[in-house]
Formats: sequence, C-alpha cells, structure tokens
Amino acid sequence: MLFRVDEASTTNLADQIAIQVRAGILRGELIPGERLPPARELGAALKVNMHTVLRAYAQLRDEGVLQMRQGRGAWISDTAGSEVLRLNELVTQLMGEARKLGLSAGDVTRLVERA
Amino acid sequence: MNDNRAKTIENVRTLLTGATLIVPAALVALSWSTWRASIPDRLAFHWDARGRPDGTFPTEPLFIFAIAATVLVFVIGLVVLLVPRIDPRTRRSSMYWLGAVAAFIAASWLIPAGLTHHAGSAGGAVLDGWFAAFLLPMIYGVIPWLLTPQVNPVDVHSPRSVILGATEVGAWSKTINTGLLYGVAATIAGLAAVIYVPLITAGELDAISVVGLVVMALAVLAVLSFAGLRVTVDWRGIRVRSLLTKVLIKRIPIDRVGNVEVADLHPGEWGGWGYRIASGRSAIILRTGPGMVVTTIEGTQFALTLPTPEIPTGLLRTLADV
Repeated sequence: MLFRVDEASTTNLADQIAIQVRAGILRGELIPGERLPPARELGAALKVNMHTVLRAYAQLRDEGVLQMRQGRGAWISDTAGSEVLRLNELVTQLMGEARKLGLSAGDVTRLVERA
Repeated sequence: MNDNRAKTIENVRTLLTGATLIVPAALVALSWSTWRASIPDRLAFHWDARGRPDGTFPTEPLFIFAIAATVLVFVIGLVVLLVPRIDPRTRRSSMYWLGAVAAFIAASWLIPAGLTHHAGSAGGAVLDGWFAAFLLPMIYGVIPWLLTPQVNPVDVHSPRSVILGATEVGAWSKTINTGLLYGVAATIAGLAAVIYVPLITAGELDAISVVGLVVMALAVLAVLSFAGLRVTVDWRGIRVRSLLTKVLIKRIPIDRVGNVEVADLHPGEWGGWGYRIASGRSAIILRTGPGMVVTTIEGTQFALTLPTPEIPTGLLRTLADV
C-alpha cells in the first residue's frame, strides 16, 4: 500500500497515516489479517518519528481497525472490513435517496462538504 | 545470413536437447546389454539407514519399467520440443523437469543394478555414498534446460509515475505471503518427521542421518524465508526482507536505480522459481504473473513478482527520477 504524508498539511502526520489506512481498507488494498509495516520501518520510510506512526496505529487500534501485540506488530482486524461495509451500505442508501430527489453525485458531494 | 545462422544454431540446440533426453534411456539399455548375462534375478532396492540392503526387487520387471519410462519421457520431450504452439518459456522449464525425471528413473535402475552386479548378490549391495547419486538427476535437468533455445526478451512497459507534492514523502510497503511455499515447507517438515522420528525413538540416529536431518531443517528454513516477504519502496530505494528471519534479501539503493518497468514475469525467463541469481540478473519469482523489473545504472537487472506492481514501480520511478 502507498503511504504519503505532507508536512505542509494542516492535518497532523499521525492522522494522515490513520486516514490512509482506513482508505486502504475501503479500497480493498488492505485486507483483514494483513500485517502493517512495523512502526520503526514505516517511520523511516516516511521520514517521520516512529512514535508518530505508533500514535496512528494506536488510534486505529482504539477504533477496532487494527490489532496490535508487543513483538508481533500491527495487523488489520477481522472486523475492520465490516465497518467499511456498513459505511458502503449507508453511502448506497444515501445515493438512492438523493436520486429520488433528483440530486446528482456532485450535489451530494457538495452537501457532504458543507456538513 | 544472420537469420539463417540464428536458425541453424536454434536447430542444433534443439537437436542437442533431444539428445540429452535420450541419454538416460540409452544408459539403461547399455547397462542391460552389458550386465544381462551375469546380473542376479533380484536386485537390492531398499536400504536401511546404515546403507545395508533390506529389500529387493525382481530384475527384469525393474529394467522393463526403467526402459519404458525413460523412452516415454523422451517421446514427451520430443513433442514439447517440436510443437511450435508451446510457449518458449514453458518449453524451456519443461526440459529441466523432463531431463531430471528421466535421469532419476535411470538412476533408480542403474544404482540398484550396478551395486548388485558389482557385489554379485542383492544381499551384498551396500549403498554407502551412492545415495548422493540419487541427487544428481536434479542437476542433470540443468543440461537440457541450458541447451533449449533461449526465450524471447522480457516484455516490459513503463507505468505512470506516482506524483508527489513538493512537501510530500511517499513510501510503498506490502507483505507478500506465498501459500505454496508454506505448503512446501510443511511437506518437507512432515517428511523429515516421518523419516527421522522413528530413527530417533529407536536410537538409530547415526552421523549420516543427522546430516540428512540438518539438510532438511535448513531446507525448511530456506523455503520459509521466502514464503513471507515484506517489500518496501521509499526514498532509500527498494528493499525485500524476509518476514521470518528479518534478513534483508535484496536491496537496491535509490542512486543505483537506472530504470524501473512493469513486466509479465515467467519463471522460465529468470531461471525458475524462488530466489534466482545469474550473471547480471537476479530475481525473486514467486509465481507467473505481473511484477517489477529494476535495471541498475550498471546494467544489472532485478525482477520481483508483485500482485499489483504499477504503484510501487511508478513510485520508484518518481523517487529515482527515471
């Protein structure tokens, strides 16, 4: 999976990493049971502090997206996919309701951005 | 003229490849004609851990099987060599296996027959270092493989580069698990257990058996080392590390990257499955399919099978500025 962090972004680096992991699960690039890179390795690869990566992993663990164990690293939890599937279902419902009202996908996007 | 010369060389190589496939059958036939008058009716065919014969097999049926099987392998080899529709890569890798199988079948006749003939009886046919000769067929397969006409150059293409902003840092990381290799490791471990647990419990583990056990343990470790890999592409270059041993299997620093392409990789083009090393080329080939080919500034090549090579290839092209 491709990770990219932007030091100039207003979103802090740990949040950027966490967002990309969630997006990776949504796109199917990360599957339940798949191991993420060790925090030290990902930190070195992205030129960020290891603890920044650990904060991202801890955030995802608290959400139930990751499981972590000392000495074994971090991996995508079995339930991570179900969270995304539920979100997909909600989006499908939202688009169904929007079409009934004659709204396009662009209209829905603008509504979401204003939310 | 050059085309004619190339065609002649290809024909000669095809002829020589066919010849290597008939050699095992020829050796079986030659040994039969030489030893027929004096060979006993039964051959030593199974040996205990100390190399003493503890099982026999009728001579004539074993010879008939050996000559029929080696001739059959030769006929199959001819078909594979001469049918034009067969993919050149498949043809080349098939020659290795056909050569190895023919040599193994021939060895299964030659070793028991030779030992029994030399000893004068099945009971006196001690195996000793001849055990190693059973491993030679795997090496024999290399001969027809080398002689088979070369495959076409690797078909590569350049993917789109991954664009990074001025303040962005990008890295790609993926764990690759190859189920087949885990299965191979489990099979070897299972075989080792079947062979050596009875020996250990019976207290019959001698020096040769210990060597065999160590060899099998190392084989399991070697296979597992490649069964799980972590591939990383970042500002430092490309690295491939074993998940089990944490050993860095391959590293190409970013400043040595000359070009990176996506390619359709076939084991036959890179010397087979697993970690392959040849003059100017190396590869980690875990299956037939898409992968990445990195060419260094010195002109050497490294290939790696990856499920979706486009993004890491594009990222490496961006980071290496190629």
